[in-house]
Amino acid sequence: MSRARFRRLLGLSGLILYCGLLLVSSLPVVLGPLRALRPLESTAELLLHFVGVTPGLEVFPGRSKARAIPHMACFRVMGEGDTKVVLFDDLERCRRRRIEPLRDPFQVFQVKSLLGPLVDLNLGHRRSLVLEPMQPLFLFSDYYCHVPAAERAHVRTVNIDTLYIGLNLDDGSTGVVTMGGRRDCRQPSWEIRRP
Amino acid sequence: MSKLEEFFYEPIRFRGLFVMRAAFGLIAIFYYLRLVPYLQVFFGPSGVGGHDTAARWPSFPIAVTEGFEHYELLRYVAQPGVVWGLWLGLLVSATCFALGLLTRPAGLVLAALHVVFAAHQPHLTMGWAQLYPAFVVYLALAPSGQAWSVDAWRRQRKDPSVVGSWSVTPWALRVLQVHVLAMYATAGWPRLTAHAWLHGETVLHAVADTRFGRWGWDWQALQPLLAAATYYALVLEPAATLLLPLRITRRWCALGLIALHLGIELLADVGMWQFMMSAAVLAFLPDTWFSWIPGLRSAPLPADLREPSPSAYS
Repeated sequence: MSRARFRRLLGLSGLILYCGLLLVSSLPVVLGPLRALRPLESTAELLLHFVGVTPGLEVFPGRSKARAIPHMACFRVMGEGDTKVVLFDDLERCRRRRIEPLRDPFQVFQVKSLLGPLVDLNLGHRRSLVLEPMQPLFLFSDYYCHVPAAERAHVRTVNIDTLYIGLNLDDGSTGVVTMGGRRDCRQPSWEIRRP
Repeated sequence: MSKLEEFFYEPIRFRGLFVMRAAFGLIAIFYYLRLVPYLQVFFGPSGVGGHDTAARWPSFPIAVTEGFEHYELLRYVAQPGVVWGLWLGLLVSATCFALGLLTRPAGLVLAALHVVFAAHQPHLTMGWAQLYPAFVVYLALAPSGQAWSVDAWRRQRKDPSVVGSWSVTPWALRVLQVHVLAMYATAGWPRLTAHAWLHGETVLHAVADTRFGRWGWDWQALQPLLAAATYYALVLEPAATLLLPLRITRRWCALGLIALHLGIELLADVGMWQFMMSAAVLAFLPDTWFSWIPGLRSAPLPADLREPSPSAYS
């Protein structure tokens, strides 16, 4: 066998292995009933994960049976130190029920990051900010504790007031939930506070 | 075995490869330019989850993007200028990749720098950023700069006897195709047991939520249309895993998917998902469908590359 032929077959083996890993790790529904294949699927996922390859993702899993869905959320972030300082405020949008899509990348990022943890906390499911789903709240509050405006006012606590508008899927009506909380900038914990 | 060897190695004529390269480069340019006003907030040392937070809370287990944990380097960057430099490097590599200038190294640098940025913020990108670098690496490894590129233009300028060719050894393109199938399998099949999908409500969830929706309309009134859109996606994406590999259904399925992705893009903003998947699905269209594009209309083939039969790819 020539060296070129050998290299070609070696490459082919690698390609077959890689493509096999992609396919095996992406077919959980098909492999589900075949329990013997589960270790194969897990191994494929692990190997791809190790090299940073994601076979695929669900963007909208749609598994929730809730009849209310998030419609809009607005925040007011207030720092308290030597003086009170408003660090972010778009509550007025929600107060006026002005339903409009978010365009600003920071606002989208903030809502995506904060809404999940705040809803979870408000429903009393979780408390620790160390848990992964809670982490965005810790990271955002830590960010606000140290933005230049907060540093100038020697901010020691950050309060986040939230207006959350939900949409009822059955009748199209909307409802407002107020949520709030406080972060002591020196502690990685969250204190729930009704605004 | 010989069938597999043929599948991965037999040269094919596919002009879409060069279009895909340009599209993937443009996606990065568009996405990262949009982030300019907030670059330091998202990725800088004093930004959300940045170096300063990590330094203040050294024992806090800050999460990173799943799959990219080995590449979370920005947390160690204490200088905002370094973040600007990396961002600039990413934009330059994306531009070179789109134009086909130093195509292969530009693509690999683009993928690497994108991974560094994407690793830092798990909640910024809705997941598309996790798939993007793999696709770019495939395109960089494929001869995607062979034509319709500055590289090809420079080669020809240097030596006018060099003849451009649309024929490529397709192994990297084949891997990309398999990855696209894996993507639709992962996203599509689990939906068949998901409540909101089965009840035709998922598109309503997406468009009525101001985090994603592009329009502030009364979506409840349009629910029958949104339910039809939900069922279209519910059927097409799992079906794509079966229809894309079949020659007879491939192109129509690919067109259906592109329509789906562009339709979603019209209604909702979920990052670069729709542009990325539309660009990736181009890999399943016939070569001749790209012949209207200026610069891809015609070119003689080198004698050593035989013209594949029409059924070989298209």
